[in-house]
Amino acid sequence: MMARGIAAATSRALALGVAVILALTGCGTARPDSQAALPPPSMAVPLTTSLATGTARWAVVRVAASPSPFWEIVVQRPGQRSWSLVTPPGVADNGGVVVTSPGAESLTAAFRPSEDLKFTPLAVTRDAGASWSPGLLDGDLAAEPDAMAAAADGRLLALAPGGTVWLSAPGGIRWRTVARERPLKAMAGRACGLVRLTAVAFTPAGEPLLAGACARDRVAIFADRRGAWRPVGPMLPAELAGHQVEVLRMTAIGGRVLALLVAGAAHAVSVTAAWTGDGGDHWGISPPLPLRAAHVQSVALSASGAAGLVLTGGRAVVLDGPGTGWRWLPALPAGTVVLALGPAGEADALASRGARVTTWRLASGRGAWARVQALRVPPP
Amino acid sequence: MGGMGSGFSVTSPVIVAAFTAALAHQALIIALMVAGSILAWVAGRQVGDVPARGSRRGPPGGHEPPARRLLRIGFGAMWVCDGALQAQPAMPAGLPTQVIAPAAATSPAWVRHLVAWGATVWSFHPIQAAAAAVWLQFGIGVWMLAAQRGWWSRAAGAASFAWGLLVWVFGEAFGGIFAPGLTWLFGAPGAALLYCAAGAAVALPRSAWTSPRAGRVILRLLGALLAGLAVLQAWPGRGFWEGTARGRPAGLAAMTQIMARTPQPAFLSALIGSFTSFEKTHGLAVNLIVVAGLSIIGLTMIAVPARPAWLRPALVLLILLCLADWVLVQDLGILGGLGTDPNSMIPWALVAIGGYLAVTRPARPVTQPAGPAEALVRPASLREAAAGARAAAVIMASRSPGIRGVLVMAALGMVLAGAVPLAAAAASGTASPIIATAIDGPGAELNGQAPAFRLTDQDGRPVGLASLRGKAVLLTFLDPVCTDQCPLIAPELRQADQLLGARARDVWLVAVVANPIYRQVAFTRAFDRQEGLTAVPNRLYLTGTLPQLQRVWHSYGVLVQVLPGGQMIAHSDVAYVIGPDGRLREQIGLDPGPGTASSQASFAAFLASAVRRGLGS
Repeated sequence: MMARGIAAATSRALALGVAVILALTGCGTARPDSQAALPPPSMAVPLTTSLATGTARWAVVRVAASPSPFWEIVVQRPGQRSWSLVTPPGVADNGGVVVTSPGAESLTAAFRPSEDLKFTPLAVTRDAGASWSPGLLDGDLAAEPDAMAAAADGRLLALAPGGTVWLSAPGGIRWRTVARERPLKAMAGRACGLVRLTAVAFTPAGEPLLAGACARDRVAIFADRRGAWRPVGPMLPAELAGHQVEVLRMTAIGGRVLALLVAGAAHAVSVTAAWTGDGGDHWGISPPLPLRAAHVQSVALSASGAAGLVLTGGRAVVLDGPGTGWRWLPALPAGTVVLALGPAGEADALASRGARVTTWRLASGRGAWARVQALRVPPP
Repeated sequence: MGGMGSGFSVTSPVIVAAFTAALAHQALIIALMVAGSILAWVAGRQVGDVPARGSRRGPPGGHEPPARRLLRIGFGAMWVCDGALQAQPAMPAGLPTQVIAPAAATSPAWVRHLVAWGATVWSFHPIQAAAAAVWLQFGIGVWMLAAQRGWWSRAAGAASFAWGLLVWVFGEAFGGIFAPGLTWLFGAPGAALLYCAAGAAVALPRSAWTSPRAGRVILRLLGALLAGLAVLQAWPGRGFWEGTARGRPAGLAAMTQIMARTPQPAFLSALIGSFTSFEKTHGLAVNLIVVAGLSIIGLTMIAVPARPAWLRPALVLLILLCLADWVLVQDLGILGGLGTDPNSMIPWALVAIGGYLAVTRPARPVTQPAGPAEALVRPASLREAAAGARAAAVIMASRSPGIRGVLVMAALGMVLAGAVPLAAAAASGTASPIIATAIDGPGAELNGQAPAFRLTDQDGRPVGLASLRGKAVLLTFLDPVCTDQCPLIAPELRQADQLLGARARDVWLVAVVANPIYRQVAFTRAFDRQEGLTAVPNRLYLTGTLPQLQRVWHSYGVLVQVLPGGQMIAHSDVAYVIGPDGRLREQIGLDPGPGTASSQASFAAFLASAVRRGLGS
């Protein structure tokens, strides 16, 4: 009887244990919507962008007409009113395209690796996309719109996802490593708390610059001074003190280097522009633009040094250059993904929907967008 | 074509034909084994000095307990049914992608990893694995049905437990117990776990059935499972209390809506469709019934497993719930795609009834002294087991095999016929080329001089086809900046080289660039580094000027097409085997298919065998 009682108690305990374990197992795995483990919102901007080189205007547009998105490069050639599709052939661009121009009608397009491709094919044009020649970066490229920069002498600077920076000889050949993220983190110190590198650029004099994100209120910009990297970032205005700062974009335009900075976190984010004409020794800072709940969708850069931001919510804002303030544009046409800024204050809005890219124009001083053109892109 | 995707059907005629042939051959072998065994048995009986038939005593160990009998026959029949379902033509190629992968899709990474390993093992030898599953399940089923008592019968239960455990882990991803959305309605905790439970019960010694204790343990475990599942079913935020969410069917209704749309008889589809409509508007009521039902049944089984008066209504309620769920939610288990079993409801009912019978009708204790027959029934140690085996031989020799004996022999033949070829294939370490053959068809024999070419290798050295004479050449065309198919083909070439072993010294693996734009030597080197081909000494990646390449493409019938910007080059996926004498031997399709580990291994085996043919070995 005693043994039977023990056996009954054992089986009852076993049953209870199974029930509890089952309930806990199921309950523990049944909350996929938990927000607790989500990372903080990223400030990174997508690869969609536009840049003007004085004679040509270029734009990279993400097209989502097929199961996996792809990118198209369009150009407005000198003297032309319309845009042309000039995406280089021969390589898939589902991983994204990073473009950089040393000026005039030249452009280097880098095709970020996708699927099983592990290196970065390049395509270079010197005639506004009429013809392309191939190039190669034998490694991965960071998913940042300024992950590659071209110097006027043909050298290229490239940023890898892990923070390694490569520099090529003129012509995009003989790549060598010129910086790694870890030594830069050590050099930036706790005052910055370098999180990651986000952009590379050449100064108009051809000196390499690197930029990144600081966990604290410092601007992570580094210049190559006699073979050693030195921090050259600007001081932030007082109202942005105490915030983390990320260099969203950094590129050489209009004889200067323009850096777009994002400071703050969550819903208290501001954008500020900083310019330098001497490789980082002196900087000019724009007034901050509070974004509130909006996010930057894309950035347009003009040859005159202006910057235009497309924000979520169909709004756009332009900063015409040093010493000016942020200027809001009329509500954007539906589907606008990027602006393209013209030399005389005009702006084009490029809207992408399915396999169609529509361009709209806002003439200088006008209050409404006018439809200019619709481009059909061949879906893969 | 490279960059243009590939099609691979689980009902590929090549795979279906191979599967059918394997089943037919193994059926023949089983028949021969059984016939041979019967002849040997009968002959042995004629020759041997054996007691007369009349000396046989009654059933060894007494009559089989009703609960055990129900579990043995019920699950034996279930295994036979499952074996028949495993014989579906789509099973060899479809099981990993349509059954195993979806079962594990929402489970944690370690479960997915483990299950993916099992799926890969299956996919390396899909024909042998699928045929093995058919014969093993048929065999275990027939074995359980035929072996009524004694050591052989208990061994059948143990086999059911072992195979059920494998199926539960690798086929059902632990019945989904680690995945979110776990619910009794969809089959948790997995039908195979119930097969395991039944197998374990059948494997118990007869003494375990002589008291109601075994029944109480079975009922308490079932009750605990049901109570736990009731808690899960009632847990808020899991989507079972609402029939719809944001205007769309949610939880149970979403599931039944999918089931209603699968191919099946119209009356079933209409029935499930009606239930879906009801569930959408009365989700709360349906879940309340399920939660209440499972709770009442579970708690009754835990609290009063020895009181038939309480158990009977709980059992009836469970059977009704099982029946309703089997028809309205699980769609009989076999109609919603590539069904491998009738799902969990029949096993639930069988195990519950078995537990009830074990409590209410335990076996009568055996009082007769243990003779040879008893030793056969209950070996308590290895020595006793050996004695039992000797006694069994005496008894077997003393009897005509009878229908049960023949069936047990047939069952063992089935198990062996399934397990031995699978074990042999798995031990070989080389994947079957059947998947590659299914995707690209068999190679086409050629007999002509290979068109000559002169190009530049990855080191910038000039290479002509004539300079490669004396060795076989596997000639392929690869785009160095291709993002999908060419990077899948390259590892296949590397694996094929490894499979060739020492014979690789007599082979050149040659790729020619298939991109008119990205064709410089720098790209061939980058591709080689990317694919780890630099470690393959007998590989060449050749390129040249555009006219040189175009001549080679043209002479080998390779189509290379530049598509609009943003897309990769489209090119033919083709390979040629050129003999050591410079003559074309075979043309092979080289669409790499899905690019899974198993399809790549299959292609490697396919290529290696084609090269061996090219070498004349």
